[in-house]
Amino acid sequence: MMGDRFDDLLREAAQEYHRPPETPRDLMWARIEAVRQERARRRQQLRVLYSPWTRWGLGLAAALAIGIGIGRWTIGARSGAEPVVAVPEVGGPVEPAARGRLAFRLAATGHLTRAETFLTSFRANPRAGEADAEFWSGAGELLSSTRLLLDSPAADDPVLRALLEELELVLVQIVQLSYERGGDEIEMVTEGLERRGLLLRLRTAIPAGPAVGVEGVL
Amino acid sequence: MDERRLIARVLDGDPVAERELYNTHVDRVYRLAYRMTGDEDLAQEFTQETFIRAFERLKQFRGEAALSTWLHSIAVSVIYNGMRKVRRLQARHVDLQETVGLGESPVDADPDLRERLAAAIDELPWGYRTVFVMHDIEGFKHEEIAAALGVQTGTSKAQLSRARAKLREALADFAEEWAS
Repeated sequence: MMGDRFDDLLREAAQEYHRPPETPRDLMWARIEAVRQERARRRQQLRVLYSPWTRWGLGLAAALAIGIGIGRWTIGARSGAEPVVAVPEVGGPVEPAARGRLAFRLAATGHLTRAETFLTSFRANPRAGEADAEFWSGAGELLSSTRLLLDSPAADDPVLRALLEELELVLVQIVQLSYERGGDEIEMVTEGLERRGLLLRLRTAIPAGPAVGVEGVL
Repeated sequence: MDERRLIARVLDGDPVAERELYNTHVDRVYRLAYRMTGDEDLAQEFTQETFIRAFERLKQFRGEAALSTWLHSIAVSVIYNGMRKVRRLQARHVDLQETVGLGESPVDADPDLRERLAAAIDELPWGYRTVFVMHDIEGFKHEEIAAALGVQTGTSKAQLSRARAKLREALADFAEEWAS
């Protein structure tokens, strides 16, 4: 009884914890509009500046960069098992725009493969990162790459975008563990992983052979 | 206005609808961001980023949950990541202060309950603090918290229970004094 009353007192006192001021609606809205306009302008510039061939090069560079960080960790964590890499077949001529989209699609496929490897290792041993700085650096780089892909044409595909968004949330939680390595925090992340069925969805999204939609187009 | 119609208008590029959507949800997002950060600038930044992302991704909103739940999951993600960066910067700052001998502890000799409680909440692990702030302070339901964090409702309840237990433990001496 006394405990309940003390809990009530705590809840009441907690209302003062970081009590927010009045919401500065207009100020924030003005900034939101400015940022959105600026981003739209930059996107438009990018469309004009980068030819499909440049995008293709960027896509490959992104795929390469994504692999560097996570690769350092996964080599140690998962010896022997090489991730599946989608190798497109050589085929007939393709529209330049399709090539650009394909580049991002390939980068996304490579990214999902690495994410799947990372999350599988994490699920097998969630505490692996406690003594491994490269684990955290790999998680951080995967998160950055996920966001890059979310802002790329690869995310035009609604299914892929939804998957990347789910991946982003889980990675954010994992990265957060580098500051809060309590057992309950880990439990929360692994449960979120299971609940979203993320590993299964990643495996489903990764083509076993040549990447989906790229057969014969290069 | 019906939420679906509002979303459809936003997707059609109607600026009035965009502002209406923002006005409907901004207070709760801002309050959550402020409660989690305790800083006006950060709260504004995280709130802005939440809505920027929401407008960019609204096409992907499937309507399986309420729009507010979807928005709060974005907000939690933005706050998590933003605070991670802030903590990293703060850690560097503290290191620097310790190096030059300026790291005076701001401990109050006789803090009252609110101050002690605030310090205890700050010390909670991130997950506990998020659930405690969302539920006990901002009045979110466990279902909303679970959806925003991507966990089961039971986990949200368990985290809250543990958060409260930790706070009781941290304020045990105060509780005894208060009871007597």
